[in-house]
Amino acid sequence: LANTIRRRSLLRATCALVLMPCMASAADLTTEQSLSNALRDLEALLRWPQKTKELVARYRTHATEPNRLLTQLRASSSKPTSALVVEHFLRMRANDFEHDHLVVVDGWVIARAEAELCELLSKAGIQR
Amino acid sequence: MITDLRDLAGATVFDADICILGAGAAGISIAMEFVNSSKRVLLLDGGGLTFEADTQSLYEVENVGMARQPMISSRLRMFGGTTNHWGGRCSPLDPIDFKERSWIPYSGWPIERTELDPYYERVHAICDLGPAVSANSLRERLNIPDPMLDETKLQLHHWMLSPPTRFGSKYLSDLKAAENITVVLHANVTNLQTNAAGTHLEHAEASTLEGKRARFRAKRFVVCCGGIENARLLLVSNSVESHGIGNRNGLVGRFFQEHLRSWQSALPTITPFALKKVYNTYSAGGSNFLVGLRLTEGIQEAKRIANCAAMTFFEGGEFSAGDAAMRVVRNALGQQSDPHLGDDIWSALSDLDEIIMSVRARYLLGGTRWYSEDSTTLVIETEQCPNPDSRISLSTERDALGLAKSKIDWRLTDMDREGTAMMMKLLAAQWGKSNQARVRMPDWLVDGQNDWAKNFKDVGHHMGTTRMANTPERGVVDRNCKVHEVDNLFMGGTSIFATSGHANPTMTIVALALRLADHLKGLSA
Repeated sequence: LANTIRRRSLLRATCALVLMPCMASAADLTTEQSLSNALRDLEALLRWPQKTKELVARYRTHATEPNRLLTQLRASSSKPTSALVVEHFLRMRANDFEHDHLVVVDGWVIARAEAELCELLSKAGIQR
Repeated sequence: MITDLRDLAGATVFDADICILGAGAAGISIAMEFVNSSKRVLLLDGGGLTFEADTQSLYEVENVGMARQPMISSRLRMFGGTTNHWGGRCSPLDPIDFKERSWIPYSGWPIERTELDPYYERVHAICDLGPAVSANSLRERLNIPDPMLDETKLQLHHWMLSPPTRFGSKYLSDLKAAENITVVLHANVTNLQTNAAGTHLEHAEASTLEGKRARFRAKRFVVCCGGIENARLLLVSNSVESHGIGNRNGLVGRFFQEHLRSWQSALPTITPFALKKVYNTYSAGGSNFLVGLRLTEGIQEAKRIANCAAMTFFEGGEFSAGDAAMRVVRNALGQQSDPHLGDDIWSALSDLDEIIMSVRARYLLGGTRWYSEDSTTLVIETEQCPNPDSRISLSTERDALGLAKSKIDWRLTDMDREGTAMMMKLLAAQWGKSNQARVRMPDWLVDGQNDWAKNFKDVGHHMGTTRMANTPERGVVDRNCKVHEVDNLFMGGTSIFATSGHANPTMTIVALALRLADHLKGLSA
């Protein structure tokens, strides 16, 4: 995992951390095929597969704190259990819903964390 | 006793203690309160016992405002009025609807919800609703699972479902048998005649389409002709005062309100059956319910928006009865495992009509789907904020009786859109947090594009045109439904609503009518 992080940009590494719990192993991150599989699994995790895919393709910059998700994910990167990354994300999403931190993208009313995640995925060039 | 003005010879004069104009929900409810009492009551209706196209044409209007459904079909001019085709959904207004809300101009009634509570209770028997259920006991009574709502923002709301009661059919025999009550059919009121000062109503004049005329004299008059006709009747009665009756402050016809309905389709349901298990129709203890959501008072104040309610409908789609039936069949044939077999069986059994329609769509009409693409429909009904520029006035066009038609200029403001938009965002947050569903807002609701208003549907709830207020500068009738400027003229029905809330109006129409009847009983001869 450490080698992977060093080889790639911070953004890409962060995306890897997000996707990691959905992957069979960290080594698989190096292939586009496994990224695609991981994204599919992440989408399943979010339980919104169709719209996640669309948002990745269409997302426009709405987020007011674009680095927030990044910071949170970086903070969790030292944890041995990758599930914590997902746990962070879900917690942030729930917090956004709780406090009406919402973003409207193509009419879909989503949590800011979701939009930020999509932005990260989009910047990382992860497309299905 | 029932009489038909068309059958009477020559000009006729009727005398009574109370003359009620209009035999719809309000008029019949008031009349029923006087059955076999010492008061002589006249109950007039412009139509007959059945639908007549020529009489109905007297409801034609000139529409100069927003496009809307034809006025000719949203109300009925016959004995029983619009209850002859209403849907039966009932709910009282919320307590906040009666309060003056600083963020909503012209809000506030001169009465509180608590004054109507005892009358709301009586409406259950009148509208065949069955026993009431309190909001607190709703979930336990109907066995509703936890909706996982932040109840500081959104709460469950329930409507009670009338069969629906047809007031004309249900109450005709009682009115017919009552010796002190005379129902006069085909009595189209054409003029209300006041004294020279405009302060006392002396008689009402009515005519049939064939030209027969009658005069109705009474100690007191109650106009219950509907949210549009009530205002029209006061405005056309301008032989003494050119601006009409009760209109010295120019308020008659203003503040015309509707409930704003918007249909949002393609609501992705995430957890199978989660929404349907909560937001659905129920039967319990002889009562039928529809369970949805409404905004709390706190969130309305915090967000400075009007009242709003939402409900879901599950017609077609992944969770349709047709699709559920197919899953059951496939499961039985061993072709597919159904993890929600119990729910699917119940869904199929409880919606057999939808299955029939699905089969028809697929095999008879050549369709390829068992269901539409939109699995769940979210319906939002929003209170329209009182707006003096939204109004009814008189047209230059005339009806078959020579009366000026109503000219309707229905207008909305940005605040009306904001209420619906906020409801959708709150639903998105609540359902997103609980992982139940996601919400998509149409562009017109997000951006407030110039033509956003055309996307709202009017639902035929015509309200506010002779609104209730403590002073004649704020409204047409006082807290007792009496026209401020006329000592013996009362108004009933939706026209007296100061604000409209989100609730369907019939329950409040009848509750206010019962309250008015009590007031009339207490007045000295």
